[in-house]
Amino acid sequence: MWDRRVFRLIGSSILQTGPILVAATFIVFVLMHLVPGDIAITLAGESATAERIEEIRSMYGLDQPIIIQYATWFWKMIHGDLSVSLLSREPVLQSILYRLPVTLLIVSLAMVMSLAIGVTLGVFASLRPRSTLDSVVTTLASVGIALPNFWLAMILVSFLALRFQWLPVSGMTNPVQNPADALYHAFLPALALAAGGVAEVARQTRSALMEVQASQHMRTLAAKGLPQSAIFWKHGLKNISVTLLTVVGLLFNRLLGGTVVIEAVFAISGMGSLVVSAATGKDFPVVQGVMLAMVVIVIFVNLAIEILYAVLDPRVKRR
Amino acid sequence: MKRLLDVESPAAPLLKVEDLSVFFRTGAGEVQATDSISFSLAPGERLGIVGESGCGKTVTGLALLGLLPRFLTRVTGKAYFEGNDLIAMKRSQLRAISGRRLAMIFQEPMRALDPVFTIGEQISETLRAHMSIGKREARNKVIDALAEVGIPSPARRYDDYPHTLSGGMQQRVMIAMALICKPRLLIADEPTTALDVTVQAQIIDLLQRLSESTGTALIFITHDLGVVAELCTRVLIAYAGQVVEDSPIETVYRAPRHPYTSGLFRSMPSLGIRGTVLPSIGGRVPSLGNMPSGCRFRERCGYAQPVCLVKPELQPSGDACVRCVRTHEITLPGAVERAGNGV
Repeated sequence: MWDRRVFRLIGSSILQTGPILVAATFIVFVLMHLVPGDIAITLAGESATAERIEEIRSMYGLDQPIIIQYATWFWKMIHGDLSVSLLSREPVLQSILYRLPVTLLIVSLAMVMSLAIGVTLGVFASLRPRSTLDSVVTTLASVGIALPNFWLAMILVSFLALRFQWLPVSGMTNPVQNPADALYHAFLPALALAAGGVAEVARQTRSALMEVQASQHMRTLAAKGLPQSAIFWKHGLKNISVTLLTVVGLLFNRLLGGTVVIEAVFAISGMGSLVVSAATGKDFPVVQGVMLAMVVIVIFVNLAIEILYAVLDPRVKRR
Repeated sequence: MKRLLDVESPAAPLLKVEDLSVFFRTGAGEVQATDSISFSLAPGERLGIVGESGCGKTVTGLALLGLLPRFLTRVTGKAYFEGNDLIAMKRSQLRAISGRRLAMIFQEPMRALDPVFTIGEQISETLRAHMSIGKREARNKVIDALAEVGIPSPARRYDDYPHTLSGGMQQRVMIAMALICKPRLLIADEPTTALDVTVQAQIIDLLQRLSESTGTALIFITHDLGVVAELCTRVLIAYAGQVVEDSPIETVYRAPRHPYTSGLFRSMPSLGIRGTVLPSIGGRVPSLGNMPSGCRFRERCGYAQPVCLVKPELQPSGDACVRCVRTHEITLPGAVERAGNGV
């Protein structure tokens, strides 16, 4: 299982992360400069003179060419310094590390919900193709993919939080300080975020299982006299695990992106709300820092998935 | 009661199939794939079922093990295996004997094995589904079984995945898996068709050796008459969903009773004859939804007469059974005769 094939895969994936990091952060850096508005004016205050603005511009290195600014940022970054926020003077690394657990908690909870509910629905739908349950699941899946999650979030808040008062309306405690309360607060945002995931997982599970069930090796299992449960849960699910992994990888990226909106709806101070406020204020170091963190997370999740591919499917060869 | 059903005297057939018909449900209504297949098989006997593609031979094998998709097919008739009707059995009863008393191997071993489980695990789980046996003990038995089917260094191969083996080795794994519980009957559905010729011969030899040493009866489904001659003692010739001839192997080669059987032999290439065009049977097999009335072979038969418009029944004729009303009026060339002329 953990043979040379797997280790080579890990090696080549790590080699690829460097270029991806540079490309992703550079693109963000350039895009930030295309956005209208001048951070130097913001920093200098409303009634500042032109000289004062110029002074601030050179103080922060904002008069340098973009490529130099980026290189400076990058050089500091690889030495572990993500510099400080231009607006709050708070070290970027510190605010990211403080908010990261919040966002990761919501994303992981949403992922667990998507998989648990989605796989169960998909399995039951595939057991009785074209049954009522199957059509209900298929329809719900289409609706779930089409629903915008911020709309669903507001609906959930108005029912589960305001009318029945089962769950808190908004806010969040830091998971590091109070995990139980954080989980309680994260439930509703995660649920809103997971809707699309549930739908996607259910659909993919259903179609992958139906394909596997039609394959000849499943017929062999019946000819061997294996019980239906072993055929299904052992052989069926292991055969579709590669498909599920692909879905998980794509879903993770989408959930991470989705937290930006969800955190805004629920007034949660996570990575999403951090990057939104930084982007509106043209606070480059913060935007860069959050981007970097997200890219690193996405890369490592995808790396983990690639390794799992090789572990779960013996036919996956090293690249 | 139990004893009565399980008798295994030489007189009692191991398998007795009576009027087995399979219907496919299609969008345009039902079509009949096989029409009243009947035959019986003694313990340890090796029976070949020969016919062209689509004649219903594979469908018959799958129907016996209840492997046809239930919502697309309907099976009628009876198939008594060790006294119990396989067709009327509940799923749970069938599951208890599938893989233990009755096993099946398939045409494409690559697709018949689960790609994400090791071959050892796949054989071991068959064993453990039918016997209370520890994992360690099962492993040893599986390794013995792999050695028995001629897989070199079986202890190391145990943890291999199917895709790392050649087609011939995969089929050996399938055979080891099918025979692990020492079944009384093995149904082999074209097990050599997807393999190289040299490998084919090895697999045939293996099946023959194992069948002889364990007394396992064999139903060998194929379109290759040559293989049947080597392996089987009796042959069932199927045409368009019906049995047209059921004969001992020597009889069918020397003096086939049905014009279709004779045609099959005449279209077999022979080393003895050179420089002549190989005869073939003209026309094509009628489609399932459009069977001719009377004898189904009538339109392709050189001996057809108006009398063939009446549906013929499978009738005893000497040591064989034949579905042809004219069988006593005509003399048909067999394989031996033709080869004899050439050499």
